[in-house]
Amino acid sequence: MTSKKALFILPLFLLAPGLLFANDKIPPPEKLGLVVLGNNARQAGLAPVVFDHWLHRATFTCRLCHIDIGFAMQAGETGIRASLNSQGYYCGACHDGEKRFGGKTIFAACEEEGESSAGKQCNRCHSQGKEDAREIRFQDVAGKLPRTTGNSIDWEKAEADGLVKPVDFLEGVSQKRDSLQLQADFSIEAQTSWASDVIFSHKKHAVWNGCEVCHPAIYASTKAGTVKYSMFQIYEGESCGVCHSKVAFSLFICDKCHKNKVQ
Amino acid sequence: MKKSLFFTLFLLLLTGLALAQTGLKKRRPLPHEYGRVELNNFSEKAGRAPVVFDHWLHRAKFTCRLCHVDIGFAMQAGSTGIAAADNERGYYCGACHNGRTSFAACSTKDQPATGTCDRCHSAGKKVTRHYDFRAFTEKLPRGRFGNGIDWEQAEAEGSITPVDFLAGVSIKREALTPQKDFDLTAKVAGMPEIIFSHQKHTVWNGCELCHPEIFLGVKKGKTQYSMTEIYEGKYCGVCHSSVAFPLIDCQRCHIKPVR
Amino acid sequence: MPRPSASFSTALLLFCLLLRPLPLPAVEELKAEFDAVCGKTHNALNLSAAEINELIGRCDALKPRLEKLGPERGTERKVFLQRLKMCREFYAFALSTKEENCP
Repeated sequence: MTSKKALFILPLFLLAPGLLFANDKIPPPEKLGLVVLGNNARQAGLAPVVFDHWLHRATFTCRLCHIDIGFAMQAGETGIRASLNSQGYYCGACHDGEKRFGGKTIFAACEEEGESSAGKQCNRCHSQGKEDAREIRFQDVAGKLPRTTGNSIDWEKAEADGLVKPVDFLEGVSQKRDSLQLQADFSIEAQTSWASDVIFSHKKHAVWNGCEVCHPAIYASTKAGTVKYSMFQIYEGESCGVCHSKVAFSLFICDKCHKNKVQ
Repeated sequence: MKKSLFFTLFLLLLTGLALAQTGLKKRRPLPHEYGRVELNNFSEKAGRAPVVFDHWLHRAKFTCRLCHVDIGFAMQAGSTGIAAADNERGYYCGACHNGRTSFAACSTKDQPATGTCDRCHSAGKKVTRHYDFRAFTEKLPRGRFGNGIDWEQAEAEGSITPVDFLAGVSIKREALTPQKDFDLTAKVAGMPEIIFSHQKHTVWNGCELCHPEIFLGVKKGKTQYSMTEIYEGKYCGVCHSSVAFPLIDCQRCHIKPVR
Repeated sequence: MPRPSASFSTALLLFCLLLRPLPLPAVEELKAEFDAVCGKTHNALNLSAAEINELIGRCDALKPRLEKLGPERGTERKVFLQRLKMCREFYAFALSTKEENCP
């Protein structure tokens, strides 16, 4: 092979593994949105945190945590530390041992070394390898919720039917703001002849995300047609792929978005 | 051969751009970190830690204009190239940090044992700040993002009174007559229009901080701003992504109901 | 000890003055001119086009004088050239604003 060809092919090889591993299948419903955070846990002698989105998204909007509390959208990027939690940031915004939710006091996040071994509380989050310590199980939450393709939870329907009522305001953290009028649903023309156009609903997205989860960080322009999307980029975790497949329903459920009949 | 090299570089560039665009994947700064700037033009070469400058403390006390126009600090971190010698002559940090108005900036000569170097040259050091963010900002009106402080409100209600004149540096000027507020039509149907207030901006910035460097066209509608460009740090994005309230605070600008 | 003559003292004084890198009053004079020229930016829109043009002319005259400041006046050169640039550009901006709004 000439070096010319090699130079051309090399980048493709570099990109290929990412594409292959990114979304190879629809994960089992309890594993969708599973995030393992080990930034500082190992250093402190604790097991990495296993965070399941299903538990928190059944009670809170995406916006509340990713905007008002400020968790980054990339696992491990926030750099959560015990000291920050105890100052009321990140997990500590709710997990302070005082705030109440659903008639119960929310357990406190781990404190800095020394006091961390007091009781089993640590295991509730620092639970990698000791899943038995979990107090709330997937079935407890998901049992009554509607399902969609691949047995995934249909969160959209669950919210619309009132089976989940995600909280969007946290006293002391969130700030009241004027609501914005929502843009009407619009369609995005598919770039191939064999796929239906995408119908995008602002309404369905804003319930969970407000404006700020997506604009301007993920979609800087709000003008329809300004940005061209490619499924490749989306698979790589850009645009829709920031959430879809990772936490929101999988990209492999094509007809959830591509639902406008080809003319 | 040359072509393929070019192509490879182009691909890498594209990948880089794609990564750069998803800002929310990155961690958002905490309230006390918002507006933080690290300066290392000469520090490490001189054997000192880089300077950590937090905008919140200085903007609570001074207008943006005082430092960025009268003292002459550039709007891009690191491009002023502040040297100890400049400070000693009474410019840049040394305009105030001269041992009289405020503690003295580091000197090129041996630093006396006052320990003031660490107050600015603090990157990577465990320095207990003289001003604690929480204590300092406790009574200021809350804002949704950025420093978690509504600076505009703080100034309007008199919780802070930023100084706009520095004797020996600023020029005595007549009071400014601000231009009228105006609205900018949003490009997206249904999106509330933007009300731009010159009044609110001139309190902090005067005229020449924004014109013509950041906003060249004055005739309404002449310059077309796109959120994409603003998000890339142009126009409003020069300040409203780094120091002033950030761009995710949509309703702070898009406030006028569409007629 | 014989007292040096008056003419010698004067010559010495003159020589010393020439030796100094740039006499302080000269820098002060440049600063004073800068203040006089650039102190009107906030009201530039209330000035007539002729007045703004005159200020721009004074900016342009001041620039080469600042550029001539030697390395020992490097800080002043850097700071005031930057401040002058902002000031001159703003006057030019104000002028074009006036022309656009009242042609």
